Amino acid sequence: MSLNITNHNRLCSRRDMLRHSGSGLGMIAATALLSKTHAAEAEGRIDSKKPFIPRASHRAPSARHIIYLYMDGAPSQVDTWDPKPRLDQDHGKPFAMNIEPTQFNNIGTTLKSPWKFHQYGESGIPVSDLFPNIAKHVDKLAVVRSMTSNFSEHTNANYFLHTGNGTQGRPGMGAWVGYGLGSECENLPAYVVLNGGLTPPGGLDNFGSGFLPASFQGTVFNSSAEPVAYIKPQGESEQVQRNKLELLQSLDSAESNRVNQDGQIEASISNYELAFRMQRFVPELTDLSDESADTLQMYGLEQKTKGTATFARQCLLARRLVERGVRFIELTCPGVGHDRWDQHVNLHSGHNDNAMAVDQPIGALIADLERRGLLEETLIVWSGEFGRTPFAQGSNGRDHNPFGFTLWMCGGGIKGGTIYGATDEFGYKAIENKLMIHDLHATMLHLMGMDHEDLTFRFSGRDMRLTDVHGEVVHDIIA
Amino acid sequence: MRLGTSFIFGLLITLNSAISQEITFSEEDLSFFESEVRPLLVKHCYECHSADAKEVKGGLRLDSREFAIKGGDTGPALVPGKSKESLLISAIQYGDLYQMPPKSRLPEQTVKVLIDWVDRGSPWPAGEATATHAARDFDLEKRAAEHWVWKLPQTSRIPRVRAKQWPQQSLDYYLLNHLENNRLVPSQPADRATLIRRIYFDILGLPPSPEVVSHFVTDPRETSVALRELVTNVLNQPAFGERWARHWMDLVRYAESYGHEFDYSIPNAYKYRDYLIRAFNSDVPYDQFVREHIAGDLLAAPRRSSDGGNESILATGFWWLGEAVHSPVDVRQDQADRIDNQIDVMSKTFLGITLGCARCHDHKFDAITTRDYYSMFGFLASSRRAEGFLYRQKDLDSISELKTIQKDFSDQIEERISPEKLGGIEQLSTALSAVHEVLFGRPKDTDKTVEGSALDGGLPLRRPIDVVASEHDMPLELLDRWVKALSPAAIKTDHPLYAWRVLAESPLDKLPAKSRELAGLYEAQLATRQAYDVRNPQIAELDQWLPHGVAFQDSPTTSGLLDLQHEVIQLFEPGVYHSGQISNRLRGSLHSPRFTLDGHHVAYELMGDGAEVQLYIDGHFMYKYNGLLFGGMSINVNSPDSFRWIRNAGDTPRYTAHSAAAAIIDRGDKPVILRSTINTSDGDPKPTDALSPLAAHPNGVLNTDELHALIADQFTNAVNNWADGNLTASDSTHLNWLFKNELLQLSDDFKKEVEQVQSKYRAIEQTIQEPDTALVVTDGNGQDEHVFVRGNHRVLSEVAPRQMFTAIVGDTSPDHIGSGRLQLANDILSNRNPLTSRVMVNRIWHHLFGRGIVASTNNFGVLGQRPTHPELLDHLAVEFATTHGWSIKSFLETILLSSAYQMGSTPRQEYFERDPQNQHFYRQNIRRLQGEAIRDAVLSVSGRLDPTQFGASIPTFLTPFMTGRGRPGQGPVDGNGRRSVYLSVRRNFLSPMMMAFDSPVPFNSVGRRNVSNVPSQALILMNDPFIKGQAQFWAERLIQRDSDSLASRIDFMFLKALARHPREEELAKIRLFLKAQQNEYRLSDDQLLSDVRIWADLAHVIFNLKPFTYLY
Repeated sequence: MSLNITNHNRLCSRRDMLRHSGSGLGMIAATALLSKTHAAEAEGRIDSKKPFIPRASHRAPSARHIIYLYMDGAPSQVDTWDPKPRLDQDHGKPFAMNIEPTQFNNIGTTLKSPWKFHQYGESGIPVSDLFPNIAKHVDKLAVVRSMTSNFSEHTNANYFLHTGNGTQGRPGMGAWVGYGLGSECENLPAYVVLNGGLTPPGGLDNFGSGFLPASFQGTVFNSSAEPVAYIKPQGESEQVQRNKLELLQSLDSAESNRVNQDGQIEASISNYELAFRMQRFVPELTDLSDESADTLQMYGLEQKTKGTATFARQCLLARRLVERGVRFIELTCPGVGHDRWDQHVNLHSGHNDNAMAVDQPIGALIADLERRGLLEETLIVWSGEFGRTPFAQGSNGRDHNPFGFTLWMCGGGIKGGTIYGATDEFGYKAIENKLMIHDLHATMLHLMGMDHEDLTFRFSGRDMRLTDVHGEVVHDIIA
Repeated sequence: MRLGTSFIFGLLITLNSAISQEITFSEEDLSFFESEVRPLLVKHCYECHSADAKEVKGGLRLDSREFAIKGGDTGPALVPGKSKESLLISAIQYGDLYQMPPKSRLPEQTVKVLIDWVDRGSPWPAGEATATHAARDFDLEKRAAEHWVWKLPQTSRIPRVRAKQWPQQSLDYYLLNHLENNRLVPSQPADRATLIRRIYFDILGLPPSPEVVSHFVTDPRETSVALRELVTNVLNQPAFGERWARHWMDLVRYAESYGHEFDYSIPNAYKYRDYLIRAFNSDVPYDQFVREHIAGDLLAAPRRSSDGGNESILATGFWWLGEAVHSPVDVRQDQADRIDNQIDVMSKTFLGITLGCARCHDHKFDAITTRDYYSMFGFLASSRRAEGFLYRQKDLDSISELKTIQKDFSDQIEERISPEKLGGIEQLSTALSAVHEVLFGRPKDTDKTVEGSALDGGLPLRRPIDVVASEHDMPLELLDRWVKALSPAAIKTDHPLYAWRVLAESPLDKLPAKSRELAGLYEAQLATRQAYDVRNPQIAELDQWLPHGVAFQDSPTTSGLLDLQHEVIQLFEPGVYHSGQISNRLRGSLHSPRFTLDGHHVAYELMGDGAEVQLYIDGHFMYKYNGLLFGGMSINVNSPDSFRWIRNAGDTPRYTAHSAAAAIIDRGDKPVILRSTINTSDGDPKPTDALSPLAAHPNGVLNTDELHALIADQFTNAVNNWADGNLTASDSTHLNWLFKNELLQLSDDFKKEVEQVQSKYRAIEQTIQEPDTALVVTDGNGQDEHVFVRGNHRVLSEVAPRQMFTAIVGDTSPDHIGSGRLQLANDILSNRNPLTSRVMVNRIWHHLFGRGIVASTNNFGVLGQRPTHPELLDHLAVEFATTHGWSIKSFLETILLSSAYQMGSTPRQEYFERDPQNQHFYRQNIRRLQGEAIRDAVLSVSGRLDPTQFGASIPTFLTPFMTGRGRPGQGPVDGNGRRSVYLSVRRNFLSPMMMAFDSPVPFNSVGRRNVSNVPSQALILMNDPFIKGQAQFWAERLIQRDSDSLASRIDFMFLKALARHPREEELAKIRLFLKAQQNEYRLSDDQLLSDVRIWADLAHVIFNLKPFTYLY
């Protein structure tokens, strides 16, 4: 057995093999099969020695990776992607619809958007002035204006968005994807969270593996010097550590033979190998010195506006992770001195600053993936956990609104230039093609080649699903 | 429009009348239906609501008029002629309950057509009955009969075996018989070194010391003899409770914070953890343990700790260790979710049943109905979360002694009391006329003022006080006290002598008129107040309130009850709830029955200082942390000297029609007294002046003699009422005023007697110590819950009486007093229940063998796994409850001393095919240690372990990755050397090391941890500063062993960390390693034994070895 710690490739070897083997799918299918009939016993199918071994999808996938741009705090739909002229007419008047209970119960008058909307691209999809850079790519976007959530409180809604359930402790969507498909990369976990600095309410459990094996939990990469927890050896020379590892390997392999190569012991030994590979690969991944100055500038790494450089680095890392075959990458927001996108007050400056931090990096990410031919296999999702009220909270803020909000998707398998669903004339509630979070999840899994009804895990007496007993694939936004 | 239950029930009535009529429709109406309506129904509704639907959603069909009227799970959908009352129309208008069709709202025009159709009486061709769906039959008895777990554990004869020398315990016969039937031979016993390490970790979660290992391994006696001694010793170590408490904490989702946005702290959570440790160590029988969890607050004789604390009630803390959300927009939903978690945890933990699956529908697979679920719901909705004030036994004894003294003396006085005993009524008339002269002069010299003589308040005196005293033959000091006590400033409008004061002031000729005027005023005030009281009834009679703790005792004050905490005689106002009934220093709380909020505010008539009033809407309690949406639910009582109305205002009007309950909490040294509580939208009631005596004088009081007689009568009445046990509030105020101001001439004997009793009373009272506090359950008033249709709290169906599962107890109609939890506990433990004992023995087996006989330890239902050894399981279950008398230690001892437990764990080549996963238990399992055990072993081996037990948790060491709201303070990297069970468990900031090694996320009951294998485990063991630090710590101690040789030191390290000696080849490899490190650090040979780096490196490697983190 070799520890493989000196043999590292620039990119992930398995991914290269898959990419160059013409039809990677057939090969994957030979190694493992996630069949409908045996979905219920999937629990036993994960080889604990090699949890990330690629598993066959249910159908040919349109996307192989997901980048989830999580707009923590909930951007306002009527100020971003869902223009409502009626709000201009009614501005300052009492809100004309029945008002549901709100989080802060501080209901003001109808509030028009402080931003102008312009139509872009061939599709003519309107985008507010908050996103001039993303707007350039509007013909690649499917803008979904009829999202709903079941919760109007951040933490519940975050758990719901991430895990399909409003309480703590369920597996996140990234964990489900890793569980379902394994990974294309041997040297990194299947699910990586690039933390911009603001951990969403509900904490790291948004990215947890819940009842799924811990192998599938999101690994958080910080933008600090040590991007992954415990990735750096603590104050010892390479040779000192190598000696230790060699002794460990030698004693353990003898031990393994002594106990007839018990599966668990073997698995634990091979697990050390992945850890050592990560120890090599992560610093190389996060070292951006091989990126051109143009690239760094395009993403906005030199921008001085609050949060822009941080988010630019996250977006660039996301691309690098895609290149290395990581399945699911989630980005959380950087701090801009306001409370995330959660503008209960100061809507104007708050949304401006939050948009400023993410607009250029996201525009660059789409362009960069496209020019490298990666956009077609990468699904990008941009969303908050719910939307905001079209009437004011107090005078210059908006309260939480789970009844109708907007998200967009682009890349792998998405029909660009699409608008799907609609809210009422005030932008308050979805009334046309109303979607639940479960529909989003079903669609994401579908694009990744999985049938959400068949991706199950037996826990607590039930075959659990990311989509619970709900969810329908939104075919109208799929190319 | 909000569709509540009343709306649905209203519809039911309408429905009956609609169905009973034969209706014929005009041609025109029918053609309208055919051309306009039916196509819409087909297009928009029938995919889900017709005979052709794959699955009829919500039980509703719209393919016949009758079906539409009959409706679905939430009741009738159609009220012909009344579109506004038809749920169908509400749904297509995207109303509160349903929004249909679910994806997109119908165009306005379409909605109009359907409204029109309903308002025209819902025309439909007659005789168009469509085939009905066969009702989904839920056959509980069939289900119970078909699944093994519902049959009671069977006692069977001990099976015959061929290898008769193998069994050591009766359970071994069952296992061996099973193996022999499957042509398997049990593995050879593990060697002693392996065995002792296995027992230490299984029982204590810690490695054995080198001395203990050497002693056991070299013990010349037979293994079984040496082992018995070892097991007895191990089971009696304090570390046992710490190890097994942690197992239990997984089951009850133990945590110390509420998670969610701000991760607020759960107060005193650790006291539950300490309870567990003590309970396991003192081997509380499992039945008692269960009873304490379910109903520890209701036990007639709670178990007491060595210092007299109430142990039993601490167990109830587990109910409250779930997550909690602040500021829920839908508070009833929040309650349903909270209780759902409680039900789920309880049913999995004690019964191995996933009751939570029956929240929305009858269980898909098990013999559990939705009604069973809401039966449990009722137990919890009838219980309250409370701050427990837990007095030690000796203090409770003192309190009951005080109560006896108080009652005896009160009774004694009541029997003997009379106006004469208090100095006679004449003294009152005399005193009043004397005071009258001093303050207002004799009738003839009203205008004179006595020169230079005035009361402290500056009131002029009309006659010299000494002269008057002498004329009336009164002691001067007594008259002086009377004058001061009756000065106008001292007598407020609510004082019993108020009538006297105002009349005494008035000119004598105006006396009758003034008196009649005041009597009229009194009548008017009384009428106003009575009308107010009719409009605003009490939320509950005071005796319906539920006291918790000792301060409020167990009932409102009674007539004649003496407050012995004073220097003089004082009577409690009768009929109030008083937290100083025994002593003002006692703590406790008082809980109202549940009531439905219909007025905007809840108002309380209270007197007290420092107490707190809390209003719980649907049981929601998180507003203590964050008041958003719950303003005004918590108020402080700050009126020490007089009753005042205080109210829950603020956000209360939001919660009209919600269920609420109030609590008055006294956690200070001053009393709080509750007179009444109303739920009102009115302002406070106007106070009534104390003028009632004048009502008896319709013609007015004619002269001063009559005036004085009036008061003397009042006094006589009060004393007589006292003697008769009919004291009124006014009587007690009157008498207390007399006693307090020492206005009565009491006999010296009487005074002495009172003094003696009171000083004895106060001496005992001073010895009472502060109570311990903990989060507990207390009983509310019992109320059954309705079944929520499809789990929707806004749509209620039949009542689900509080009872144990129907599959176990059948249909009962229990008549519980209070919540009924004690009965629930007894039913859980009843010998008619096939689950409890099986579930627990299986858990213990799981912990000792790495897999339960039922592998799914928390689910014995249809979707759980079947027992691999059913007879063995039943045998253990019966033995546990009978032979072992539910003793966990005794049961553990039997297993540890069995051949089954002692088998070697190495997989055998010859069985790779036949039993690859050791389903048959032909060997022990190789098991990875839990995160806690790994960390504790590191501390133990390094010498850093601090064996201190109990107390508040040590804060978690936070890495830079642990960010977010509610981030707690930083903890020490080594947790101060304390065992892992004492590290804090904050939901949003769980220890990364524990997470990596699969300590469960505390959201639900976990009976079987994942055993995962992730790179972070390796990264932590390689690079975590804690592990590195402990390797260093160990090395520093090692190099101080001066008599060591290289070999002896390595030997010592192995013995300490792995409970065995190194093998030859291991020794050789390590020697090479040490040599390599020596080179790397450029050390000479004589520095080898004393250089800490080298030994830290070896220690670090040992912490990473498989034999360190695995159990063989």
